[in-house]
Amino acid sequence: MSAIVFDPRAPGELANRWAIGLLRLPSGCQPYTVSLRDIERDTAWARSAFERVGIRPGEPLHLIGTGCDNEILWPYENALIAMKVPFGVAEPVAIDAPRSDMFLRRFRLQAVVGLSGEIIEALLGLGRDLHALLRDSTVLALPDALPRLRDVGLSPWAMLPVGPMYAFESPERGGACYDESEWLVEDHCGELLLTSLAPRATPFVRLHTGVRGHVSERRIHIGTP
Amino acid sequence: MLELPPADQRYLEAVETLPRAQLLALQQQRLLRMIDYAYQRSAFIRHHWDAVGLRPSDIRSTADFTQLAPLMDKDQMRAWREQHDDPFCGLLCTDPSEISFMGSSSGTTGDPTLFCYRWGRDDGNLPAGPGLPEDGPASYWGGTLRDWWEIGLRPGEYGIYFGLRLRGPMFRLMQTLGITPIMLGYGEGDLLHFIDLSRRYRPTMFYAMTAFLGAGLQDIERSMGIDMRDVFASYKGILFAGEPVGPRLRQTFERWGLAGKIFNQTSFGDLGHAHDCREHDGCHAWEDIGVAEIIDPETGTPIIGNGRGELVCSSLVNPLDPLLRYRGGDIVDMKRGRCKCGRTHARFTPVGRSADEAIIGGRSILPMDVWGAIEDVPETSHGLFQIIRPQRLLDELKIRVGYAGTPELARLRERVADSVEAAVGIRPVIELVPNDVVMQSGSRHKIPRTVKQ
Repeated sequence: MSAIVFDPRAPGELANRWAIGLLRLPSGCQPYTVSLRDIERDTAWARSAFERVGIRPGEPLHLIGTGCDNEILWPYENALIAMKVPFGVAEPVAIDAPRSDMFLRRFRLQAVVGLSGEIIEALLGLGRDLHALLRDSTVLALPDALPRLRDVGLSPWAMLPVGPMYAFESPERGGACYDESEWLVEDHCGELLLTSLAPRATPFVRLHTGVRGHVSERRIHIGTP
Repeated sequence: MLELPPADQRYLEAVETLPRAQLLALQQQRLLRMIDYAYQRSAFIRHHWDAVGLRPSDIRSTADFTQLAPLMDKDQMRAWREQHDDPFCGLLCTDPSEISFMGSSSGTTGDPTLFCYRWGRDDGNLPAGPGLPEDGPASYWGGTLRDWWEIGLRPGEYGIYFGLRLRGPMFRLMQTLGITPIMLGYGEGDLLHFIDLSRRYRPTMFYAMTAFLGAGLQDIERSMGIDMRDVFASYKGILFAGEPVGPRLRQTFERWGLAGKIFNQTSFGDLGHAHDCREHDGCHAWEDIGVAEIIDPETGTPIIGNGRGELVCSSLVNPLDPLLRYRGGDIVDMKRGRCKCGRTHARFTPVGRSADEAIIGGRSILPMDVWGAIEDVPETSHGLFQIIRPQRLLDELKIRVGYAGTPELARLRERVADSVEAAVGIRPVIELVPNDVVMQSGSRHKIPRTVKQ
């Protein structure tokens, strides 16, 4: 047999099934495939999102996310690598809060991305002062973490999971932006529906995301109108 | 562009079977360069070498190094971190912007310590390719790629990835070998999806199996009557990581048709990972990636050749945060010489951690000594237990044991104590708690097997 030589970027079976994820929807879980091209396009958008947030090269960042969401988080990791931003990782669950706590205490973090309500409760359980811990960092938080952060006087960005993508809303609010070249987001009876516009490995047509919200002026607003 | 050997070739790289003299020459060449590099750039290394009056120029061989260079351990690293307010413990040899990814230790004995990684391509889409250029430094992941190739993974296959992200995104290594990862998690119902996806895609690898997941699969088999032999029919390797497979769980997997396909992934002294090969005669310590020594854990004296001792490792190819003579507390049985698989690198079998050893009435007890006895009792067969070890020398053996269901506790306590006593000859004091209580004491891939209280 001869050596195996392959270009993973070349169109073909492998590039078209670069990873299989499990889309976690309120109606149940659904396996779906992502291609390397999907990841590359998502990486380009993730980079533009980080640049909009003001992420800078060379300064450490804490990225919180669960391993089973790797195919969604991966473009964000790629973007940070491309931007030369060193990042430390932890899982968004209470038992891993000491790890987040370590990064928050020991680094001057330019940003904390993916902060969850469960981590916040666990940090409070460790006796931490959220404001003191996070005031010098840009915070991109999941919806369940936002009220607590705002209560202590912080102004987080909202990081909204909508099916297989994230949308981001600035601290000034006014709705979350998303990759409009990749996705069409509509609302129907108060639920966000997602349709893929680009040729993704797994196309979605009006996917019921289970996320309550509405869309106006190309921005996502979480919650009922 | 990725290049891999022919699919029927057992070895990923020629260095795996390099004649031992050549391998040790390559190792020494890399070691001498790394010593110089680390001394110049790592404040921690320089401080500890200066403290004993040692300079890189004093080291002319690997033998000099193992005789003269000071040992380092995690307590020293943590002390440096506190004294200097340096999260990298004085080990970082580059500008932080050179780091791609900061993983960290489990933190069971204190604040987690960091492992820094750099991925190959600037766009982050691919890790460094397989292999290590002769002159290094390069990717220390290369050793894992060799191990996974040895398990039999080949391009075009699928692999289950039940992985956490704390030591690095290992799924990227699957892709480097041309394997499509199937990403699953620890959510309720994920094991049922695993069963469905295994039947649909017929994966060849499971990364990483744990006592927790194994217990869940046994529950599903019992409650739903699922044929696990069919579920696992396509698998070439089930990798246990974080902690080894317990004796009874191993038997269960063998009953599911996986005899010979259970692989142990363990830490190569925090330099990277080590796995056993298909001969299952120890985990391969890649000696072109690191120097693997053993020492007497009490005296620190090097043990030459084969035998049992504490693993001490030194980085050869890590440009970010290299370790030199790092003792991580792992007690191993070391074997040198050619493995039956044909590889010439040393291999070791973990037998426990020095920090886990309890001495009761002069008798050494490690978690593995009681593991099987606890698994043998049906209600505690998940093997979720912790030895309560406030200090090394104990008057009694006290074990917290997790149970499933709603058993009659007084009788269960006696049966577990009987089983452990039969195994180790010491009557233990058993504290019974529901399985969830034990699980909550650790991360989802590993629970601390000893606790202070």
